[in-house]
Amino acid sequence: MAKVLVVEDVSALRQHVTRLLKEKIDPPPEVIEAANGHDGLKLFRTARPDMIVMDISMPEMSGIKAAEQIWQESPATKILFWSQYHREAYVREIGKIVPDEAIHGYALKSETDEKLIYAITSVLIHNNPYIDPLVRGVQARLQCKDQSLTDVEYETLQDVTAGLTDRAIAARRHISVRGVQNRLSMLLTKLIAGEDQHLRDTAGMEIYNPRTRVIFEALKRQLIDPDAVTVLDDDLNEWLAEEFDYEKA
Amino acid sequence: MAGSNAGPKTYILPVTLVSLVVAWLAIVVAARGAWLDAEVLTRLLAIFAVQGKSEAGAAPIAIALPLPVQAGTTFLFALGATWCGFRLAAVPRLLVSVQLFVLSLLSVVGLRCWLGGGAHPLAYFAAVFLGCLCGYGLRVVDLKRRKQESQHYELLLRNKELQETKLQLVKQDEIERRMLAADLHDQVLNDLKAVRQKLDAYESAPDPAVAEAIRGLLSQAMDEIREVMDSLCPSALEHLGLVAALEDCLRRGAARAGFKTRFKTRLGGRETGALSMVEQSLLYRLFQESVTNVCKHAGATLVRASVTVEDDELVIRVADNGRGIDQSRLREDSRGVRYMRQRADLIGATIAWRPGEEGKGTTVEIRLSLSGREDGQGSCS
Repeated sequence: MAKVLVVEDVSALRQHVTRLLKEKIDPPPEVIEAANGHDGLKLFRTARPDMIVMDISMPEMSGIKAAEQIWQESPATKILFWSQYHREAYVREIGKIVPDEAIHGYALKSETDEKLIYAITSVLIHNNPYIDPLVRGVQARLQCKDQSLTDVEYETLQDVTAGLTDRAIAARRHISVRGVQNRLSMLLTKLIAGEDQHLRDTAGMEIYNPRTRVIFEALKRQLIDPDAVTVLDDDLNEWLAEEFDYEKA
Repeated sequence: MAGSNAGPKTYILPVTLVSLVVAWLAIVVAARGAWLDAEVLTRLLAIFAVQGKSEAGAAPIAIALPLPVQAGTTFLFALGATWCGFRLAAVPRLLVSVQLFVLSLLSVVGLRCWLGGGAHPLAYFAAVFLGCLCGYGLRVVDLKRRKQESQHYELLLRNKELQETKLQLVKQDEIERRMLAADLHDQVLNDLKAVRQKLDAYESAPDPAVAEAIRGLLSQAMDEIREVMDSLCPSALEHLGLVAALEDCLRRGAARAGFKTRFKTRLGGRETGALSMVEQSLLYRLFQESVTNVCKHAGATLVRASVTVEDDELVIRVADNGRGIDQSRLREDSRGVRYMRQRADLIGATIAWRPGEEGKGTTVEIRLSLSGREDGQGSCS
């Protein structure tokens, strides 16, 4: 049974999350609670939970400070930040402290319970980083009406198409490298569902380069509009300029 | 004082030299012209020699002048010496006092030769010496008093300035408070009123569309309150530190005004962690004001901001490529500029506006000395 630590200073909200966890997650996890970052850190050391739902603004020690400490001691800890702050700066700063091994998420308090459950499931069960699209300011889909991919998967598809490495995607999307790898494997499962596994078993060798094959599949299904890739490129260049001060000649 | 001394200084040296020469000449001429015969000279010299008194045949000349004349001349020397000690600075004082000594010597010679008597030369010397000393003492006392006085006035002036600054800040606070009230009134209150109306409508006829509208209005109101709260107390500054908060501020400005941004820094939280929370939030406000100005006036397409440490100073720059700031407005200290300067003054920072590179736009530079701080003393918590 999974163990989840809820760190939140407002007791009503803390109990609300506890109830949600017990009622909506299957199988229901064991839930422990702490009222501030300091207590959360102490409880983490003794109880070793699988995942932490962490408020940011708390007395004694903020959620970010506590998470930094926890990640220092145990880099693979899954932490879902549950915050009232819509600012991308939060996601960016957290992205800076998240270790390569960790899976983390950023959910907003102003959003519905369903979204919180989705975020928890995503991080806890699917090992898939979740960052609320409202915070990330998701780029509009490029003439893609196919809804079979989630926004997050579509974003990863764009990054792969642009030729970014795992590290680069992690830096650009403010998630861990492991988070990127998990996203990628989700994408592969959806687009080339088991096909390559089957082929590999038959042929006794790797037939497809997964990244290229994903792009091929996406083109085939018209998930990517070849005419719209310039927009992808523009976005990428903007990020490069902002992040690394690199201006394309 | 220094200015008025420049005059005397230039002619005192030649005058002193000339007076020494004249004194020497006077003695020589007096000796040649038998006004000062050998006997008188011997007697005269005996006056200066301590042992002269006891030597046979060289008894001091009897004092022949009336006492008032002696006292008067001695007094004149004392007065001159006092003036010299009191009014003159070090070098001229030395030269003038030498002159006074020479003058007293001359007058001893003169008085003895022509009038056959005079005050004892040691009396003159003592008068000159004590006069100088006395004058100098007065001078020291006077300087002290003047210094105190000027310090007093300086203090008064500074107090007045402080008072004005305080008033300005209070005024500005008042303006901000009004804007805040207006924000709350125009946006949040109106949304809430609409919520109430919709709720009434929903009560009479439950309609999912109305419920959805209510939900939308409520979350809109929440966003607005969050916006207002954030302008009151920037949460990013509290939780993420100065550098991240500045970057966030710039990006939000970019989203509002539609310019591109480049934010550059090599600092982590360490350097800015040494700043107190008050310093951090004032720096943030200055930066925010600069970004707001760019949004409002510059019409820029690209804004570059950087946070660096140069020569133990924290340097925050905001450079836009917009229309540029009117230099005359800067000179005459427009209200916004003055207000920002005052805010910077509060934490000992400086703020400067310059025309941007290649003559385009404006660069704002905020500097704060980091020296003499211990790490982590007032880190955000």
